[in-house]
Amino acid sequence: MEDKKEIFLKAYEEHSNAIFRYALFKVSDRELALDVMQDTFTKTWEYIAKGENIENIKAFLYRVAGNLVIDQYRKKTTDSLEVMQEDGFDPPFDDTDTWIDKLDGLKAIELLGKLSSDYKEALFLKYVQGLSISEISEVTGDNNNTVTVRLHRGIEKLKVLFENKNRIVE
Amino acid sequence: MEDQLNKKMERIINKAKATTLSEQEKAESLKMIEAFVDKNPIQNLHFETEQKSVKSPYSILFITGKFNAFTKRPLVTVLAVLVLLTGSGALASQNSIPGDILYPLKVNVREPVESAFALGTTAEVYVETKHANARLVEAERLVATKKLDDKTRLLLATNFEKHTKKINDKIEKIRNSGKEEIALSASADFEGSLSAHKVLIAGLLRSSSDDDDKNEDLEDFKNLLDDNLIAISNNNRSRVNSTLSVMVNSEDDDNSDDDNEKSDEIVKNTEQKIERTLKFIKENKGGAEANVKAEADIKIALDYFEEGKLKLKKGLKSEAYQLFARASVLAEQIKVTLYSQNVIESSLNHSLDLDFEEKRSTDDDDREDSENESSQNDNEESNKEVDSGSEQEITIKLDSLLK
Repeated sequence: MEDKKEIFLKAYEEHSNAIFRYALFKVSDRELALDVMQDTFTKTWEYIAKGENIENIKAFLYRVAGNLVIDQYRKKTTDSLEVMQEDGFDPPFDDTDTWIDKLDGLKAIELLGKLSSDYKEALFLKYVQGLSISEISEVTGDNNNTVTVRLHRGIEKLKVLFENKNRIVE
Repeated sequence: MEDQLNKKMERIINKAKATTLSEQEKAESLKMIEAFVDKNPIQNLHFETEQKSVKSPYSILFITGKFNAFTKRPLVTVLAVLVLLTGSGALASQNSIPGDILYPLKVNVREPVESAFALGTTAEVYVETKHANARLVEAERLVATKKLDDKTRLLLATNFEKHTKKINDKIEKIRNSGKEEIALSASADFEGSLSAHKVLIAGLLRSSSDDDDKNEDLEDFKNLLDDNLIAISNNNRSRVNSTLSVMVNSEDDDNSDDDNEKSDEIVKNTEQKIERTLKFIKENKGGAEANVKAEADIKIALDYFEEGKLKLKKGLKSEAYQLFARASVLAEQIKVTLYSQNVIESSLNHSLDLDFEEKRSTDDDDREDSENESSQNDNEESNKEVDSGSEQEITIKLDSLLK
């Protein structure tokens, strides 16, 4: 029994930052993200305390966090980056890159969360959270092929988005 | 150009990666979580079997709450379970209600054994839904036969809440394992069952309040069930919606194999639910009026289903899934309504039979009393009548013997 508690607390040590970041990506609000992270761990412990076994605690934490966001912490609808650009939002994609320097972590996450494509979750999990393709498929419930396709297309979309902007600036 | 682009993206990603909890936030959250862990220790279900104790030589015959015998003596356990599940007592207990001698056998033996033998979360949630449904049917039978008292009301409500909690947990578990389509199906079953009982209980309470001027027990029970049912139905509705949104959000533009499999599964599940209900209506021997209503309702479910399929063809998955969910809930609601109506009806008939028997025996006693009175008044005449009656009786008995 002590083992389970130890494993759980070790999981908190290892994954709390990642789950917090994932929640932030989903809800775009630091305070809410903190609540989601805490709830994710307490829900997971409730599950363990019932004597249930979890094979991959990392993937399980991601799924619980994702479901919590859907159930309780619905994200305020924010416009996609494309829509924001159409409305006059104009991140200066210039050579000096000062806008990136000014970007803090939260804004960077928000920016990624604003990509309108269906691929943003896979992109975030892969490139920000460092999850493997099979881990992403466990989190999203898709098979490995679907995840690979989404990542590939997501990168292409991002490139087109940045490239177009750069061309206009140039 | 490509390099420059990659570098820009990399910088944004690195900024995002660097976002973490502050040391203080992390420490405070850990404190809160540790307190939660200490307050909610692991349930000692599997560990108690390791405790040393002196065993009774007859322990082989018993299945304890922890089902030790399941793992240690499979053959004996299987036999014992067969006896428990198919033995006449257990079978008879199936229809018992609180207050019956066999009721404890039903809730303390038969149902836990059924739950223990449900393999996999999907089967477990099905069994729990069945048991929650049983508690509500029992409540309805008690209301219908006017046997609901305060103690029984509490017992049923507590047990019902226990089942509900288990169902919610299990559906959540299915969802967390990525099987949204199964979670959706289980959720629809539960909601259909609850919707059916909500209507039935409201109807029963309305008709009983016509008879009684004021019955506080019934009012209390109505409020308790109403609150529970509304809360659970709402929870369920939001769960269906959120499960749908997970599925729709995770879907690709170009219909990956995974998405198609899930869609196919949902279509299949909905179709099966409707077919099962159609079969149930066909075989139902309850009232004709109830069947007519059920047939009209199942047509609505079929319409939802067909409309859902059309939407799916057009690629409007969210709308399609909503329609499939509505069709499933309605199909289950119709089935549960018919089943429960039959059970309540037979309870009422049984109770009327008993009342009639009681009334007849009371009438017989009255008649005997009045006959005695008249015999005391006309002693001689009545003695002759009794004598001749006895002679007649003897002759009949002899005749039948000679035949």
